[in-house]
Amino acid sequence: MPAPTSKAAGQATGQSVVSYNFAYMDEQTKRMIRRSLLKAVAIPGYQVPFGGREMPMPYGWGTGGMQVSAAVMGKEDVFKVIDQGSDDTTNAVSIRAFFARVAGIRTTTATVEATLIQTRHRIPEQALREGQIMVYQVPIPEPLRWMEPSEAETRAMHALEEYGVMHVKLYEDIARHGEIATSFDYPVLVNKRYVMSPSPLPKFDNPKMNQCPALQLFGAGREKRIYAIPPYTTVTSLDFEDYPFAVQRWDVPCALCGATDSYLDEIITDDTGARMFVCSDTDHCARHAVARDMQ
Amino acid sequence: MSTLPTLPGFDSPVDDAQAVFRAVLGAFSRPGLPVPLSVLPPPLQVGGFSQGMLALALALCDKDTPLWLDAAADTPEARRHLRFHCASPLTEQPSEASFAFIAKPESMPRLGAFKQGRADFPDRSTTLVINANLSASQAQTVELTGPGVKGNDRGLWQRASIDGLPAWFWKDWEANYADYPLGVDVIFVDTGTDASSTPQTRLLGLPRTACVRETAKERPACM
Repeated sequence: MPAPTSKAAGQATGQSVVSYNFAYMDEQTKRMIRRSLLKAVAIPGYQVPFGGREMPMPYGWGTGGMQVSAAVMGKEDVFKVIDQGSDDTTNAVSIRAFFARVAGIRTTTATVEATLIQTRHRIPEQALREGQIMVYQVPIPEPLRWMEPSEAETRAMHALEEYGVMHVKLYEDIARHGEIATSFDYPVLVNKRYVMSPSPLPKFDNPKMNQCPALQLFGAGREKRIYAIPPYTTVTSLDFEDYPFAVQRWDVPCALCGATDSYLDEIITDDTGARMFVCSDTDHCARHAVARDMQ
Repeated sequence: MSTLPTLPGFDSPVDDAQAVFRAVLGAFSRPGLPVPLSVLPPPLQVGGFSQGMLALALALCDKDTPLWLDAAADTPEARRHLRFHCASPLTEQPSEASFAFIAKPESMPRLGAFKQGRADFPDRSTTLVINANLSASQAQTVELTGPGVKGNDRGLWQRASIDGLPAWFWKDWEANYADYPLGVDVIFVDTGTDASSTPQTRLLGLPRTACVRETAKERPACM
C-alpha cells in the first residue's frame, strides 16, 4: 500500500518536512513493528524478532527505541526522552528534536505530562501512571548472552526455561565479592516465565517495573528484538533466599535538591578528588528543588 | 463501461491505522477491559466482515500476513477489500494464518486448529479477530486474571462480558492457557450496539496470558 505523506507532520514546528511520512518510518515497517509489539505484549518478557531498519543515527544511540516510538506514536502524544535520567543530554535532546520535526508532536521534559517516554537506562522517579507508555533503548536484549554466545542455544534455553546459568552467574558474584555485585542490567523474571534483561537500568529501578501501571516496551535496534511488559505484570529480580535482592542506597542526599529517595550520580568536581552526588533524574531534581524552596 | 468499484478505506490512512493499533495495543495490555475504537473505515455492504474487523485488517495486515476467513466473513466484497488495501494472501488452512477473521464464532474451528507458535518462536501464532457481543446487559460474563489485570498479584479478577461464543470456547481457552507460552491470542470486536443503544465499536483483548474462569466458584490452575 503506498503510504501517503501525512500533511500535519512538520506543521506544528513550521518546518517543511512533508517529504517524510509521519514519524519518519514507512507504513509497512510500522505495521511489522506493531504486529511484533502485540505479540510481545501477549508473551511478556519474550524477545520477538523484528525486521529492524536503519535509522538516521548509529546503533547504540537508541535506534531500537526510536523504531518502537515511531511505530507507537500518534499526533496526540506528548513525548519525553531521557538519557540516564537526564532530559538535556545530547542523545535525549536529539531524539526529542527528531520526533518533534518528523512527527510534529508535542514534547516535554515533565514526566507527569508525557504519554510516551523513551528512555536510555533509567525509569523516572515520578511514579508512572495508567495510559503512559515507556520505551526502553536496549543494547543487548539477551540476558543469557554473556554466558552463552550462541543465539540458537539461548533461544532453546528460553524455550526450555533453562535458567540455571543465570543463577550461577549471580552465585559467582557472591563467591567473589561476598554479595551480588551486579548493579545494572540486573536480570528479572517476567510473569514467572521468561528471564529478561531490563536494559542497563541501575538495579535501583528494577522494583519500579513490578506491577507498573504503565505499558513498558523494549526495542533493541542492532539485535533486532522487541519485548514488552504489560501493565500490572509481576516482575521479580532474581536472587537467593540468603542473599535477597537489594537496591543501592546513598549516605548523602542530592547536593542540588536534597532528595533522599532518588538515584544519585557521582560527579567529580575538581582534580583533587572532590565530588558531589546529584539526582540522575533531572526533572525530578528540578521539581524537588522548587518544592523545597517554596517551603 | 461499468463504473469501477469504490473501495474506501481509512479517511486518513496513517493516523487512523495508528489510532486502531493503539486501541488494539490497549486491549491486549488490559485484558477484559473494553476499548473503544474511535476511527472506522466505511462498512462493507454484505456479509459478516464487520467494520471493526475491517479497521483491524487495514491497520495490521499486509503482504506478510496470511489471512484465514470463516465462511461468514469470506465474501467477494471482503476479499476485494483485503486484496486492494492489504495485499494479504488468503489461506484455507487456519494453521497457516497470521490473522483469522471469524464473523460467526458459533461455527468456528477449535482453537487448537490455529497456528500455535513453536517453543523457540511462540510469537509465530495466529491472532484471532472474533465478532462478539460485548454488551453487559445480555452477555455471558466471565472473570479473568493475569498480566494487565490490576490487582492480579492480590488475587483480583476482571469481569468481562463476551457473548456469542461456542459452548466449548472457554474449555479450549483453558488448554490454550495451559500451553503457554504457545497459543493463540484473541481480539473480540463488538458488532455494534451497546447497552445504551449508541452504536460504538469496542475491542476486548484476550492475550494467551489471560487466565479465565466462568464462575467465581472455579479454582483454575492459575490461582
